[in-house]
Parts: sequence; structure tokens; C-alpha cells
Amino acid sequence: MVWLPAPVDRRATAVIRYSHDKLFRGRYRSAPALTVGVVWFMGGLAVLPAAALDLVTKGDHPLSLLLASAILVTIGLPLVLAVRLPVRMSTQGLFSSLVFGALAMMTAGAVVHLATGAVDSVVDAITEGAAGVSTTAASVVVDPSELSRGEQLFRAMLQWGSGVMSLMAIVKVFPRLGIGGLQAEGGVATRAAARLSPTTGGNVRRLTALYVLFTGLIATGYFLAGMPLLDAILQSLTTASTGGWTTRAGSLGAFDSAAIEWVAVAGMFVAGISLPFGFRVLRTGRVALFWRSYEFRGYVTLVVVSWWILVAWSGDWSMSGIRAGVFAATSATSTTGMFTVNPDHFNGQGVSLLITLVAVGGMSASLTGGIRIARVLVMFGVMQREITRQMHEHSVKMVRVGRSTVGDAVVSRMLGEVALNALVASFGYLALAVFGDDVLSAIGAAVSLLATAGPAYGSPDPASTLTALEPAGRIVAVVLMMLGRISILPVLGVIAIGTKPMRRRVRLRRGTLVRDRGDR
Amino acid sequence: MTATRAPTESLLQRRRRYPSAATHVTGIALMIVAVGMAVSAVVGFIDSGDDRWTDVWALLGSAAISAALGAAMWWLTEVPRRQKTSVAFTTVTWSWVAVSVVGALPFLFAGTFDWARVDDALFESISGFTCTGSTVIGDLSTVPKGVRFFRQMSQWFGGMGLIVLAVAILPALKVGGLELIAAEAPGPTPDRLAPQVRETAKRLWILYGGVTAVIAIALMAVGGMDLYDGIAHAFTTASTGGFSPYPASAGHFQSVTVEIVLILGMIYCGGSFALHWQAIRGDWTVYHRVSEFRIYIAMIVILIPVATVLNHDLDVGLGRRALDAAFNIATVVTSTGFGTADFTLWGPASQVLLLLLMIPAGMTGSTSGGIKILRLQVLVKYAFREITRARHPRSVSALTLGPVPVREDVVHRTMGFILLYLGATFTGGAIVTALGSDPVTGFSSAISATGNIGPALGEAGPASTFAVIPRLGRPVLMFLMLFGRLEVFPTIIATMVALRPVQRAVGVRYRRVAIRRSLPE
Repeated sequence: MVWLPAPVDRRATAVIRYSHDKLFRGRYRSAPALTVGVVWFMGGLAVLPAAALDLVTKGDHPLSLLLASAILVTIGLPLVLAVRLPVRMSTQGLFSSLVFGALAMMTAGAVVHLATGAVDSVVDAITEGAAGVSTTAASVVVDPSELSRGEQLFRAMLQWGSGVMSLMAIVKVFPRLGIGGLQAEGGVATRAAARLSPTTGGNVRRLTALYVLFTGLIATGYFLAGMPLLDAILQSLTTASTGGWTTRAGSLGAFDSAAIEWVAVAGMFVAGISLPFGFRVLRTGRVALFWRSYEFRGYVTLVVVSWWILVAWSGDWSMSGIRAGVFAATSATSTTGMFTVNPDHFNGQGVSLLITLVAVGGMSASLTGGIRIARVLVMFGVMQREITRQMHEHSVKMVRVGRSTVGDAVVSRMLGEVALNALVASFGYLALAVFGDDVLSAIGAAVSLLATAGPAYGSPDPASTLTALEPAGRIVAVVLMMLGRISILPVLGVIAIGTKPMRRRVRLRRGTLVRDRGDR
Repeated sequence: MTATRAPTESLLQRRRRYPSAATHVTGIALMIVAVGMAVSAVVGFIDSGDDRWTDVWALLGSAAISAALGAAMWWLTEVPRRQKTSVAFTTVTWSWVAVSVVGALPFLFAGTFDWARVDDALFESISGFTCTGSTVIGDLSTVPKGVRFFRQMSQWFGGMGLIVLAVAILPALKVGGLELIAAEAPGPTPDRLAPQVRETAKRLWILYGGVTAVIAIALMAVGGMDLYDGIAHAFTTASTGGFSPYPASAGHFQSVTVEIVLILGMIYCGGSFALHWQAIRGDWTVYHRVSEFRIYIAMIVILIPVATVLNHDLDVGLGRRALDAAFNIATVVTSTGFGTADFTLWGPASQVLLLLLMIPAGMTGSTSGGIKILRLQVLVKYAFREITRARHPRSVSALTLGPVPVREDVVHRTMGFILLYLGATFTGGAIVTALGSDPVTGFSSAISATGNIGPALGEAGPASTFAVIPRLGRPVLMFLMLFGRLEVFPTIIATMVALRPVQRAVGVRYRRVAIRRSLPE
């Protein structure tokens, strides 16, 4: 209060004092605003190492990166100071926080890309930001090796940071909203997440620690496999987060190293496993727990069977052929989106298998995209139940996944999510077909973007998912990627909240019309 | 008089009848098909050229076999008074299969297919009786006219069976989805146009026959077709089957009026026959009351200009583009499958649009295939209800169609249906693709087969035939045609019932092994 300017009159003083109190004592209670503030502020700080690296490696953009950092901190800090969390977090608040947090992260990414000049237009910057936040391995940057080291670090951190955000959502948000397929298999993933520590904050810390450890291991693996240290670090950030951006054109295949590819396969495979579940297994030391999980068994079976089929279809049973098959299957299932060979290598059949794998995705509560295996298992359960009900009309039968039963409310939520995904995917196919050259690449690209994988399966150039699109097409891609990452339910929930007054007006108007007609 | 009758009556009464609903109903169906074959033989006799006798003998021979088999099955069996639900499903499935098998005979006897290509004849027949309209015949002009007429008629018979199946039988088994319409259109419920199923069926057949006649007359009077073409095309329009006696399908006539009549006919027959009946009885507002009909019409009206705009880069005039768009949207939405333009030459967006439309297809209670618009409505409402539920976790929100809430078990059944439908289509597409088709051809063929559409995308487009699908892939498509036509559950349950002895044997063996293992050494 000391620094306040002398009041012009009493009213002005009162206004200023009120605003000051509101601003700097954090009197505004808004979870979405605080989330946005924290994301921008942290994003700004995260750009600093990138700027420092650019400075050290004599890159072109240290000042641009510093400027972007300053902008983000300047916008984010006041929000952090002015706003605090509400005493009770409503469901709508959770929805909004999740959605606006992701959007804030996307804009942060866009600001940095624009500041450094890595992209030419605002649409491209937003597209690149969305690809980063959604951990999609698609990019409008044709050759990432032309970017400075600082920019590369920022891009990798954007995808890795999105992984951390996803972890928070998995632990704090999704279980409360009942989305993300966490309740399948009797809620194994949720129970695992809830039992790591007494508080959700503790859970997040532990999972983040596991995530950091996992990233470190991958980095070490890459380094030992012969990758340069900086590349190893950057690549590990995008592998652990199932992001898939690489530092070179041609994805991981550009390194042309079998050892590096095997390390990536291991990293991608582990990234597709439920993190809370993985933590629990590590903590207890009971590896058998993995095998007791139907979802894990499904995941392993899916990966193994797919790579075998891919190799069989390619007809190349040499070591490099097998490696290519294993890599493609793991990359698609974990929705990482890295590639070493063109998917066309596996023929049309292989391409359709890869699209399917991407659509299914990894385990629930992992960082992968797609429908997730848990939901697929629940769908099988529903099919089985309905056939039985059809034969025995009065039978009472629950949906089962393995030994666990899944409640009707959970089944409804999961099927609802899948149905929403299918509807959005349909619009995606249509929209991308308008800008595309053929049916298969439009469908492949839409599925790949919605599942946050990235490569345009079915297209002659898998890296051209975004570059082949017009600006309008890129906006469609942004929508698909963000919907894939955040989950459709929260986004539509926020839209429902936002459009509530409008819908009420329409309803009132319709009611009046009906009444008028009745009067006549 | 009594003395002469007595031995016949006693023979009738004394014959031993095996209780089997499936066999009995199949027998009746085969006899009806035999009549169709005989009629086609007459048409062949009148109309065919040099191959008249081949045509006639092929059809008469098939009719004789079909009638003999049917009569024997009918004669030796009876419908038991009480039966399980699974029996009804099995009856529906096996009668369709049997009719399709017998329906393949004229193609083989007439030499359309060699005996080594029995599977192709079966494909053609199944495609006919399921009102799909996919073909493996490369050059239709080589097929005798009588057989071609029978081919058209097979679709009409399929449609005839379907109407009763969709409106009278499946709702009783809680499959058809018409119980959902009943919520919106109170009054005489669509699955009960009359107190007895037999009476309901009769009324629907009268309507079906009337519609066929009207279309035939319109095609002849307005479109300038001759009697053969008029009736042949009316058969496949009313049944939304889509077969044509000409390789170029409806495009053979190069006539705008023919196309317009066919468009109107397809749209009418893609609507629910139960609603049409109610409307004919004077309750015209039923069309407005039922949201499915509103959506059905809105979908067609909106998508025609959309497809016209999407095809802006085609090298044809606006009028022709609009007519092509209207024809192809109508043919796909109603799952008919006539062709006037090769839509595989259209832009990718138009093709994706048609592919997506193949999934819902027409209305419940119609002869069209697909998931049906009503179920799609349930799916969308179900999905959006979860948004409300997620926002208000303790809210109790029922899914409503019109003003009436739909029972939760009906909703679950609908969701189960959709999952099974899409699951089977996907699996079928994957198998066809794995056998060597390109992904677009493989998956679109599967979608087209399950939805009983007819043409697909890629190499199996309107200008081509399903002969491009690998030979092992065609049985998969045949299964999908039946699967989609019979509304999913009958086929699955019939298959399960058929496999029950195997399952039991495996189960007994598994149990024996388990017991042996559990015993001490």
C-alpha cells in the first residue's frame, strides 16, 4: 500500500485500494484463471533454459527466447498473484481448468514459435503449439534440424511439460469426472493412482518423480546407444511423453542406428503403460501384478501380435525388417508417432493396421492417446452382455473385464466418450478430406491427429500431416489434436457451460413460440 | 363324399410332424421363392432371345428343386406351440440362408457361373435376397433375361420378408428399434398395425405391393420404360435393393425423368412402412411427429447441396452435378445402390461423405439397411447425455425421444447393437483388406455389405463389380450382408446355437482335463 500514488479524490482511492486488495491478496477465486496464470508463468520460466542453451550453443534466437519468456511471465505472474483456488472445486471448475490450462499451454507454445520466427504465421504458430501440447508428432516445421538448439529444447520441453499436465489430470481431474477410461477393470488404474500416497498432491509428486526417472533412463539409453548427449536429452523428453517430435527431419530413422531404435521401442512401450500402475508395481516389487491386469495383457498382446503381422506383411524377416515392424507397432500403439520407415513399407494392409493401433492407443492412465485398451475391453464386455440378454431376456448380467465387474454408470461414461470420439472423428475425416488428396490419407490423418500420434498414415509422406494442409485444414487439425489430448467430454462440457445463456434464450424463445401457437 | 375324403384326411392327420419352427418356416419361404422362379421362367419364355430354353429350364429346374425341398420341409414339420427366443432368431437366419442357397441355382443352371464358382452364385443370390445390390457378374448382358428378372425379384422377395421382419417379428424380439418410434408416435404402435402379426404382415405387404406398382407405372408412364424394365426396376426400388438388369444400372436409360422417379421412389421406400401405413390411413401428421423421419428428410435435403458444392471441380454442368448428387445421396441413404455416376471419381470429401452415410442408412421399419437413423439418434443423445452427467454427476437424466423417455434397457440394447454392428463391419473390413484388397476397397466393401448398400469405394465402386475382392474375402462379405440385413442379433445367435455342440464338446473336454489335473497323482 505504501507505493500507491496520492489519491485524486476519495472515490479514486477507494477504487484503487479495492483493486489492489483484489489483485495482490489473491481475492479472486477462479481455478481456470489460476491454471492459465500458472501455465503461462511456468512456461515463461521453462523458456529460460532454452534461451541459455541458445546462448551457449551460439544459436540464432537467445534474445527472442528471452523476449518470449518475458511476455509469458509478465502475463502469467499477475494472474498467479491475483487469483487463488476456490474453497470447493466444482466439476465445472475442473472442466474449465483442464481446457483453459491446455489452451494456455498452446498459446505459450505459439508465442515462443512466433517470437523465434520458427513459423511464419499465427495459424502455423497455433498449430505448432497445439501439436506440442497434444504430444502429437506432427509439425509445420519441415526440417527441425534447422531450428536452433534452444528452440529444439523448448519444443521438447513443451511436449514433456504436457506430459506432466496429463499426469496431474490423470490423478486430480479425470477420476472426479469419471473420464479417461480409468474406471475400467474395476478401476484398477484409479485405485492404483489413489493409493500411492494419502493426498493427490503426493500422488502427483510421486508420479512426476517416476516420469523424471523414466525420462532419465531413456536419455541414458539413447546416449549409450550412440546418440549425441543433447539429442539424447531432447529425444528422451519427447519419447517419455509420447510426443514424438525429433531433432532431425525423417524422425528417428534419421539417426540410422539399430541400437537407438531399440531404446526408443523400449521407451515407447513403457510410456504406453499406466503410470500409476507402473509405480505401484515398482513400489511393491510385485511384477506379477502386471500380468494380473487384463488391460496390460491386452496391451502386450496387441503390440506383439501387431508387429508380427506387420513383419509378415512386409515379408522382410531380416533383423532390420523385424526392427521396423516392432518400431512401427510400438510407436503406433503408444501413439508416439515416431517412424523409421515409411508406413507404406508394410503395404496397404499394414497401413490400415497401424491406423487401427493408433485409434486403440495404449493403457488407460498412460500418456498415450486413442480410445485406450480399457475402453475396448469394456466395449467387448458390453457386446457380450447384450448377446446374452438377447438370448435370456430376464437375465441380470454385469459387464466384466477380467475378474472385475464394471458398473452401468461407468459403462455409460465410457461408451459416451467413445461415441463422442467417433462423431468427432467422422467430422475430422470429412473436414480433412476437403483439404486432402485421397480418402485413405484423410482418414489416416484424422485418426492420427485425434489420437495424438501424428504421422499421416496412408499418405506417401508420413511427415506431411500438417504441411500438406491449407491454413483452414490446419485449424481443423488443431481442433482434433486438442480434443484428442484434453478428451472430448471436458471440452464439450466447457462449451455447454459457455453457451448456457444462449441455449436458455433459445429455449425460452421456443417456449414462447409454442405457447403462442397454442394460443392461436 | 366323406368316404372319399377320409383316407386323405387321415393321411394328413397321421403324418408324423417334427416340431421345428426353423424348418417349417424355411419350407414356406422356399415354396414362395419357387413361385418367383416359375414366374421368371414365364418372363424368360416371353422375352428371351436365343437362349430362351436355357433360361426357362434353368428357372424351372430351380423352381422344382426349391418347391420340392420347401414342400418336404413344410410337410414334415410343424411350429411348436412354445419356443425359446433363440428359436425365433434361428428361424429367421436359416430361412434367409436356405432361400439364398436355392436362389443361387438359376445362375448355375443358366451357366452364368461355372459350377466351380458356386461361391459367386451364392454371393449374387445373397446380395439379392438381402437387398444389397452388390454383384460379381462382369457383363450382365450375357445373363438370360429370365434369370435377370429373377435376380430383380429376389430383391423384391427379400424386401417383402424384411418388412415383416422389421415391423412385426424383430420388435417382438426387441431388436428392430421400432419400440423407440412407439414413444414418439402414440396411437396404433408401428409394430402393431393390427392385433395379429399375420394381419400386420398382410397390411404391410399390400402397401409394399401397392408402392411397387405405383413405381412401375411411374417408370413406364413418366420415364418411358417398357413393361419388363419398369417392373424390374420397381422391384428393386421398393425393396431398396438396387439391382438393375443392365450393367450401367439406372444410368443405362440416360433419362432425367427416370432418375427423378427413382429418387422419389427410393426416398419413399427408405422411410418406415409402418409410418406410411398410418399416413395412408389418414394420420398424415405422423411424419411430422416422428423425429426420425424429420431427420431422414433433413439429411437428404441438406446433403444434396453439400455434395453438389463438394463436386464443384467436376467437369459437368450444375444441373447434372445436382442431379448426380441427389441420386447418389438418395441411393446411399436409402441403401438402394443404383448407379448413374461413378462416385469413386468424385473428390475425397464427397467419397468420405458417402462412406459415412452408408453407416446409418434409412429409417427403422423400412427395407433399407444400415444402423438406421433412429439408432444414430440414440447414440448421439447417449453421448451428449454423458456431458450433462459429467457436469452434474448426481443428476438423473433419462434419454428422451420426443417427449417420452426411453427405457434404459432399450438404450443399452441399442448401444449393444451399434457396437456389434460396427465391430463386425470393422472385423470384416480388416479380413478383406488382409486378404489383399487395398484398405479403402476392403473397409468400404465391408461397410457397404453390412449396410446392404451395394457399391463401395475404391475398386469396388459403381462402375466395377465385387469380383475385384479376393475370392476368400467374398464369403466374409456374404456373412456381413446377412448380418446387417437380419439386424445383427439373429445371425449371431443362430451361429452360437449352431456352434453349441462344438462348444459343449470343447467345454466337456476342458472340464475333463481340469478335473484330471486337479486329481492327485
